[in-house]
Amino acid sequence: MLHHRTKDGQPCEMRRGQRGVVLLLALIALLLISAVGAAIIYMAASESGFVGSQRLSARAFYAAVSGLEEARYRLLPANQATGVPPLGVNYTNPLAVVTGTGPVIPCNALPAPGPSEQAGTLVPCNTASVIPFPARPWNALYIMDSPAPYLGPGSNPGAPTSATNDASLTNEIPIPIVNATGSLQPGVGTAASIPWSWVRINLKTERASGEDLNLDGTTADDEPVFYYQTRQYRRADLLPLVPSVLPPPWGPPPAADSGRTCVATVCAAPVYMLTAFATIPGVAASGRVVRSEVAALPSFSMNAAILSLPPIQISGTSEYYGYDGCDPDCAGFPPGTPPATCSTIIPLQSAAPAGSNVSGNSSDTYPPPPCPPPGTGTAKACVQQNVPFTYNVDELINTLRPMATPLAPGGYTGLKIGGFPFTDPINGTGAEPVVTYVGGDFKCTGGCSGAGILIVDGNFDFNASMEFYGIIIVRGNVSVLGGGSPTTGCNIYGALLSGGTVQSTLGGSICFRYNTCAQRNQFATMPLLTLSLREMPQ
Amino acid sequence: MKNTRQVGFSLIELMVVLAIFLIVTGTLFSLLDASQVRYRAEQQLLESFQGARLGVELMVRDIHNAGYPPAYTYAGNLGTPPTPATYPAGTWTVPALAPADLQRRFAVGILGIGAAGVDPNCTVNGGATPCLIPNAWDLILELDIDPENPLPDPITGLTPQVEWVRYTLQRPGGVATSTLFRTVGPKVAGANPAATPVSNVPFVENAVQDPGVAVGANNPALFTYECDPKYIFMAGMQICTAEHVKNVYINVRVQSTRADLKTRQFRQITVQGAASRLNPSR
Repeated sequence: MLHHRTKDGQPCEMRRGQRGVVLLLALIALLLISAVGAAIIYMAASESGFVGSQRLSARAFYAAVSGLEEARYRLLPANQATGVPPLGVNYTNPLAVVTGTGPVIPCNALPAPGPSEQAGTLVPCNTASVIPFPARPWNALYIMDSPAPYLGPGSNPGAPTSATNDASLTNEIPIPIVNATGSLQPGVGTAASIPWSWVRINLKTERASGEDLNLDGTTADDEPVFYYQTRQYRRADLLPLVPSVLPPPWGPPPAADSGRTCVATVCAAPVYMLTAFATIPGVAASGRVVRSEVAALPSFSMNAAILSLPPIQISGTSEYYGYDGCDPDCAGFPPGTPPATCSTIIPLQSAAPAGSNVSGNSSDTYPPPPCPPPGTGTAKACVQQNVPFTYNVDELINTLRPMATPLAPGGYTGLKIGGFPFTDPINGTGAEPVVTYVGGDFKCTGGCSGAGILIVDGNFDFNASMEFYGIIIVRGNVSVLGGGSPTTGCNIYGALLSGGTVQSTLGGSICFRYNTCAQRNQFATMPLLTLSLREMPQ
Repeated sequence: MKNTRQVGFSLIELMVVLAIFLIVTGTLFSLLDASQVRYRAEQQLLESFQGARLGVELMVRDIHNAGYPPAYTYAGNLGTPPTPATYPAGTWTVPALAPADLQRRFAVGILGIGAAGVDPNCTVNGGATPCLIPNAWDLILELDIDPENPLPDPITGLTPQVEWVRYTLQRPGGVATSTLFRTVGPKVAGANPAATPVSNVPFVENAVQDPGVAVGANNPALFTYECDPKYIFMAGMQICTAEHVKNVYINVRVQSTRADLKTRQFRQITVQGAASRLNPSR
């Protein structure tokens, strides 16, 4: 009311000023409160972003791990053309592949590109039939997620700036790029998945890995590293040991006519370093680099149907097909090659001294060819005793166990593992071999069948109706419980290795059919062993 | 005169105005103060939370890499004379029996500590000879944390050198919250990493869990262990050697450093993580 009556400006100014102060104060307070509110909202938002990027980073990590699996899968021997050895492996002389002037290896070691992959870029593997692979052991192969979006300076941390220049691998030579769109791995390359960006496959060397394997104080050499027994060796350190002084467990060099492979000199497999990078497109610092080292499990072979450390006790009617160095079914490589002429006939081997002998039933048969007449007394000419037992059962079990599927110890009836039964046990058609580990005594009371590698870390008892295709390794005793008959005509296709005694105490008819293919096939389908896996710093 | 009288204010008017002004500004500033307190509390909680989260993240990465490089990377002795000549003489199949010069180069992953120091045979989650470490509050990993940059170890002067990384939750007397420490030291064959003094640099602060009190619903274990199924001693029981622990579940519960104004309670946040040891068991 007052200001309405006032004509001069002074009081009016004052009133306006008072009103303005309150307004100003209110505004300032509002501003401050808003600022605090905004800061809290900002904190929440940054926290939300923090959590989000961490989640995406974790997804990138698993995407990178899937890239490693892709490469491991492609290196699987079974994924290669028939008769083609794994990249860098020569079955008859694995170490020879890395001599500079050594044999050339067909380079279709990796599966052919998928339909949508960059056909023609698999150079030189699909344009040249062979490549002197070992000439440059530091050579690397890249599998790219798409046409090289990740190649380029600064495009992502840890990525090569070009396909041919990776600082971590000195002396690297130009290498091909395989586009992995249409990957063999389900899900990769589809919109719904986060693909890895690239995977690099290269042979492990001291220089590439930074590990001083031979403790000589330097890592500046390019000797390829091989996996032998359960450890890694530079090729140069392994070569002097070939072939005579190799220690167990892989067994003695086989006879020249065995047709068996890999064990001819030394069962070593090259170690590959797989490095994968994945990132979330558009999300900075979400990239993760993971590296693993993989190697094919060096194939090992047994040179008789049954190998045992103590005496083998046979009291039933037994049939043993196949002999030391002579496989009646599958001697050659690739599978199907006719067996070589048999010159020795020793289906059973025992490290027990002669004289503590193997007892047996006179009706035992060892076809084909006919077993020589039995020796005097109950000893069998077809049984070799007092032979060096060069298998280290403990080492074998330790090596295979990490890749095995566990099976609880105990008694089983009708157990089916590994795709058995199948129609063609000689060649293994229909089998889906698996590695099975039983951490104690294992008893098969009837109708059990399987394929693959069966490891029994205890005693193994089985009924004569048991059928198995592959390798059985038993730390303890083996005994055949009783009668029965296998549907395929024989009990074991492959070989059995026992660290204890082997007994057939209750008679019945058992049949062992020594089969090198059954042994070797386990390794063709067995994934490469992951020796180590770690995340790379960025 | 009239005008002059109209221009001034009476004392009462001024007092009224002042009182109103004080009420208004006081209210405003108390609001402001409350919001600032709230801001600080949120910030402290967030700091605790993010500290815990980053801690879990690093723990997960360390556990991923635990056991790298594996014991069997290095060849050891192939024959007699030792081949190559530089390898230490003697053969070994158990990592703990390897020559000292080899032992510092490889890692066994999660380390079991028994009464007498490093014990490869003690078990987690119970068993006949349970490990002292790992336990709910303490975990010792073996890994090479800098394989790409193998600088000589500052203590041993050796390279390459695998590290012991110890995570341990501790609560000094008279303190209301616990602190998680991360201690890194060189692996020395025959030594006991649990005897090494814990780092005095806190890794995660304001943890609620009390290592001096038994594990329970209100005091959840910081670390829980799950065995590699291939190496479980008895079916259905999670008992295995420390080396064969496959998964480690991490549960960090932190609280704000200041109590909430309204509830007078400390606000707590739990960060959980799961880490799988990536290197294969041996």
